[in-house]
Amino acid sequence: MKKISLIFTLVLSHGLMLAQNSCEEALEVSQGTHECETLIGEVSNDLECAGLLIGESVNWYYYTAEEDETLLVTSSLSQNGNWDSRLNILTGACSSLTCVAGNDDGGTGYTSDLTFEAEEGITYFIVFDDQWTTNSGEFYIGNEDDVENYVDPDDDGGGGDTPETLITFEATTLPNVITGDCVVDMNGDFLDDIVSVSGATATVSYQQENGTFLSGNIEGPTPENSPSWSIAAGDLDNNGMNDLMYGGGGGVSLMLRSDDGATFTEWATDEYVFCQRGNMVDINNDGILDAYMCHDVAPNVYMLSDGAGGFEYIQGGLGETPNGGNYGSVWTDYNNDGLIDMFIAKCRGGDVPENINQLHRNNGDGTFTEVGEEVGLADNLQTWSSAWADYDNDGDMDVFIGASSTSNGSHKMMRNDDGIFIDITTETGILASMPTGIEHVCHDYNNDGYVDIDISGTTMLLNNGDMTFTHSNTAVNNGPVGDLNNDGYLDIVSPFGGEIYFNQSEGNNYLKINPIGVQSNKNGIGARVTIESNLGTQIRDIKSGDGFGNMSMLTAHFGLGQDEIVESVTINWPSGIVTTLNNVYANNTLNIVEIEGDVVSVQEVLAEEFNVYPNPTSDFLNISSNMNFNSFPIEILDLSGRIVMSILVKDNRIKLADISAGTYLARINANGVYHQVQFVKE
Amino acid sequence: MNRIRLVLATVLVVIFTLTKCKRDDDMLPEDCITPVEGKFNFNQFPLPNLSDYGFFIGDMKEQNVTDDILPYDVITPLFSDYAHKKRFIWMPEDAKATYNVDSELLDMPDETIIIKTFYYENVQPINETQLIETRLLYKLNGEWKFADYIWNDDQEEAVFDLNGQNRDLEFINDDGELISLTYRIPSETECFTCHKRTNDALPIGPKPQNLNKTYSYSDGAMNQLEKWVDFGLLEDDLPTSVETVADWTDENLPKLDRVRAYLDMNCAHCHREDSHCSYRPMRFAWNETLLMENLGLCIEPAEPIDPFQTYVVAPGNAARSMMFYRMNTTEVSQRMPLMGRTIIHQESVDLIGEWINELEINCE
Repeated sequence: MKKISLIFTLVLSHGLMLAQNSCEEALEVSQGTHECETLIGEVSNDLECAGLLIGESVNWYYYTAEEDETLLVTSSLSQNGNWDSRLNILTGACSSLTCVAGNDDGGTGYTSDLTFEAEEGITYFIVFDDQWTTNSGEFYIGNEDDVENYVDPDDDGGGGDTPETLITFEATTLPNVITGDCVVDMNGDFLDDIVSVSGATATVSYQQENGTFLSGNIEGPTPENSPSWSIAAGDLDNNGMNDLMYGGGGGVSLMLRSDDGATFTEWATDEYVFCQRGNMVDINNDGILDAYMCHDVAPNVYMLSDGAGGFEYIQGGLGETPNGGNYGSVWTDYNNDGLIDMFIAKCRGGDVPENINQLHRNNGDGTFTEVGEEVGLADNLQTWSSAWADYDNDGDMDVFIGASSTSNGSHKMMRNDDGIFIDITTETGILASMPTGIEHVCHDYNNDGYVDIDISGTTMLLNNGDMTFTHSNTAVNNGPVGDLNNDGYLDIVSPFGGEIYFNQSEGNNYLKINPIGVQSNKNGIGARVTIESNLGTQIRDIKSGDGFGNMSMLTAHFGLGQDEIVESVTINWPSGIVTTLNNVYANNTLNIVEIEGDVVSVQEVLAEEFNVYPNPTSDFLNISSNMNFNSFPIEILDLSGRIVMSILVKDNRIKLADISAGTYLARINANGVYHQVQFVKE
Repeated sequence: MNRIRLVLATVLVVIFTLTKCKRDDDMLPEDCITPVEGKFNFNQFPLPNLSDYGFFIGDMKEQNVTDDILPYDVITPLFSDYAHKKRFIWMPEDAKATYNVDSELLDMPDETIIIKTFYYENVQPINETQLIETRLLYKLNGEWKFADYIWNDDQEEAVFDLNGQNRDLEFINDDGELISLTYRIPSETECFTCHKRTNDALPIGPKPQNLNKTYSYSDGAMNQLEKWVDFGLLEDDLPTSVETVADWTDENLPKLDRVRAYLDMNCAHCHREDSHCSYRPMRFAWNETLLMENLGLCIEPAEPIDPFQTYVVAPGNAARSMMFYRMNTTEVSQRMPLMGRTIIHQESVDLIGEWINELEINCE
C-alpha cells in the first residue's frame, strides 16, 4: 500500500516537474516572497545542518548575493499559519555543500526564521526539508525592512511573559558526541572531557589545551544496563582512572576502566533496580568511592566498593520508603559537621509517603538518620531534582527544590538557618509560574561570585547576591556542565548530543580547584572547598552526580567577580584532613593534593627554580628545587603535548620506568601556570 | 457495620468450607484437618509450582481449566510485547463479586484468584507455542497478592519466581515477520508498580467496562458479565446498560474511541487519580478522556525530552507530539509505557499517529 502510493507520487511529481527537486535543479529566487511547493525533491547524500540531518524530501532554491548583505530568510509570515517548516542555508558546489545556517521553530509557532551574512557573488541554497512535514508554504528572503506579513518572533506573546536574556550561550556543533550526558576529566589532565555512551562504547571527546577536542573510544562489553536514567563518574576501584556508573531501567552497571583507561569491565546488579539519580560517594568513609542509586519503586540501593573491582550490594538504610519515589539524590554536608549528608527529591502521585522529600543525616559511623521533618524539608512537592549551594554565601548550603509538576506546589527556595530550612521563596523573586522540569542544577554561570540556577534549560535564575534572583531567558538544553574551553566560564553540553553551548559571559574572574585525594577518595568527592576573598566566603562540595540524570565536572568552580586575589583556599577532606593555601591569584586552576596543614602558596613555588636531573636519564628523574613539590603533581608530556604520566613527587624524585625512550617535557601544573623543562629518557 | 459483615462472612466461609470438605471425595484427608480450608489452602500460598494448585486438567500447557474456573477476556487488552494471554478467574463457591461502577474494578471477595498465562506462538527455531509465565493475583484478608510461575523449557511445569528475569526469544508474527525481543518477566516490585492505587495492590482488567462483551464459552457464546452472574461469580445487580470501552482494533469505530480505549488499558493505571504518575496532567481512564485536555491535547509536556515536542498531543502533528514520541521509542527512560513493553507496538503507534494528524484544532 505504501509502496504503491509512493510510486504514484513519483509519477505525479515527474509530470509536474518543478525545477526544485535537487541541488542541480534549484530554482533561482530574488529578494521577495516566494512559494515553496509541497516538498518532493531529494538530497543526494547525508547533509547535516545546525545539528540535524537534512531530511529525505526537500525543495531547493538559490540566491546569489549582489553585495555583502544581511539577509533575513523566514517562513514566519501571517499567510503561513503554523507551517511546520525547517530551513537550511547551504553553500558550495552541489557535490560538497556546507551548512551556513539552519533553523527550526525560530519564527512564530513552528515556522522558521534566520538571518545570515551573505557575501557578494556567493550563491546560497535555501533548502526546506521534511523533518516535520512536506506541506507547502511561503518564504521570504531579503532585507529585514522590506518583508510583508512578517510575524516577528521577537514580538511573540507581546513580550509580557518571556524574560530578557541576561546570559548567553553560543552553540557549537561537536561531532562524535551522540548523547552528551557526561562531562568529566577522563585522562587526568584536569581539562573537562565529554563522554558519550552508545552501547558497548564510550566515546570520549578529550579537551585539548588549544581548545580542540580529540576523540577516543573506551571499549568494553555491551553493558547489561545503559545509562538511560543517569550517569555518574569517579574512580571506584582506585586505579587512577575514572569509572562510570550507568543507571538503567532494570539495574545498575558499574563500568570499571582498566589501568590504561582503554577498556571497561562491567559489574552489574543481579537485583532489579529501577534506577533514577545515581552518585559516586564514599558512603562508609574508607577512602574508596562507593556507588549509590535512587530506586523509583523500592528502597534505595548502594554498592560498597572494596577498591579492587568487587562490590557489596545493599538495599536499605538510605531511603527506605517501601515503594520508592526516589528521583534526585544530592550528597552534600548540610550541617557543616564535615560528614556528607544526602537529600532525596521525591515524587509520586497520590497522598503517599513516597513523595515526601527526605534528608539523611550522616551519623559518622556508616549509618544515616532521616531528618527531613526535623529540618523542614519533609515536603510533598513533586520533584525530580534539587540544586544545593550556598546561595547567600553565609557558609552553609541552601537548597532550591525544583518542581517537576505543580500539583503539590511550585519551586521552592529553602534557606539554611543553622541547619533548619526556611521557605523564603516569596522573598526571592522566583516566580511560581516558571516552567517545571526535571533537571535543576546550580553553578556560578556569570562568575560574579554568587551561584545561579538553571531550570531545565528554559530559564536561568541569576543570583543578585542578596538572595533574590533575576529570571533570564536562556533556552539551552541543559545537559552536563563543565569548562569546555578552559576559559573559566562554565559551558553546557546538549544532553541530546551534537552541541556544546559555550558561555559568552566575560569580565569576571574565577578560580578552579581540583582536589586530589590521598587518604580520601582520589576524586575528592565529598570534600568541602572554601575560599575567602573580598567578596566574602564561598563554599562548594565536590559531587559526582547532581541534577537528575547528567554527570557534571568534578572541579570546584568559583566566580570571583572583580576579586584578583583569593586570601585562602581550604579543603576539608572526607578523611578529616584540612589543607589550606594562602594568597592565590584569580583566573587559575589549582590541583590540590590532600595534605594536612598549610601548603606553600603556589606563587612561592613558581618563584623558585625548577629543574630536573640527570639529563639524559634512565629510570628516575630528580626534581631540583628547595621547595616542597609534594603538593603538586608533575606531568610528563611527549613532544606532541600528550600527557604520558601525571605523578606526585616523592622524596624529590619520580620514577620513569614506565615510559619509553624519547624526549619529554616535565612540567609542574600549579596555579594554571606551567613551569616546564625538557629532558631525554634513554 | 462493615466489621459485623466481615465476621458474618468469615463464619459463613468456615461453615461452607467445612461442608465442602466433607462432601468432596477428591480432598485429601489431611486437607480437611484445618477448619478454614476450602478448595485451596491460602495459608500456604504462594505454592511452589503451578501444578500444585490443580487449576488445570490434562496436559497443563493446554491450559484447560477445571469446571469451577472461568476463562475471560477483556475488550481492549494491555500490549505486552505481542505476547498472547489466557485469563481465568476463580472465586470461592459461596462468595460473589459485586458491581461498583462501570469504570472501576468489581469488588471481588477474599480468596478470589485471577490467573493469566503469557505465551507466544510460532516461537523459533522450531515454530512452537511457548508458554512463558503464568501470573496470579489472589485476594487475602482484603489485600491482593502477586505470584508468578515461570514455565520450564519442556513446558510441563511452571515454578514460582518473583525475582524477575529476562527471556530472549524470536517469533514469527501474523504478517510472517520475525520479531526478536528480550521479554521481561516482572519482579514483584514491577508487578506492583502498575497494579496499584495509592499503595494498595489491585487487578486492572476486571472492570465492567472491559468485560462487557460476548465470549465463546465451551457451552456456547454469552455476554461475559451475564455469564459471571450465571456462574455465581457476580451478584445480579448490574445496571441495565454498561458504559463500555471500544475494541481498539475495530476499524468501524471512531478513531477517538479506539484511541481512548487503548490509552485506558495501556496507560491509565499510571495516569489517573491517585496513581503512580497522577502528578502529570494526563488522565487516560476511559471515563476521563471525553475531556480532550485529559488526553494531553495542547498540553505542554512538563518533562521535556526535546524542545521540538511542543505538546503532549500537538493537533495535526504527530511528529511534534510527546505521546507519539514516547510510544514510538524503545529508549528505556523515554518509552511509554515504561514497563511491560520493550518493543514498539507499531499498530497502536499508527493509530495514535493517524488520530493526531487528523485533529484540526488550533492550540493558541
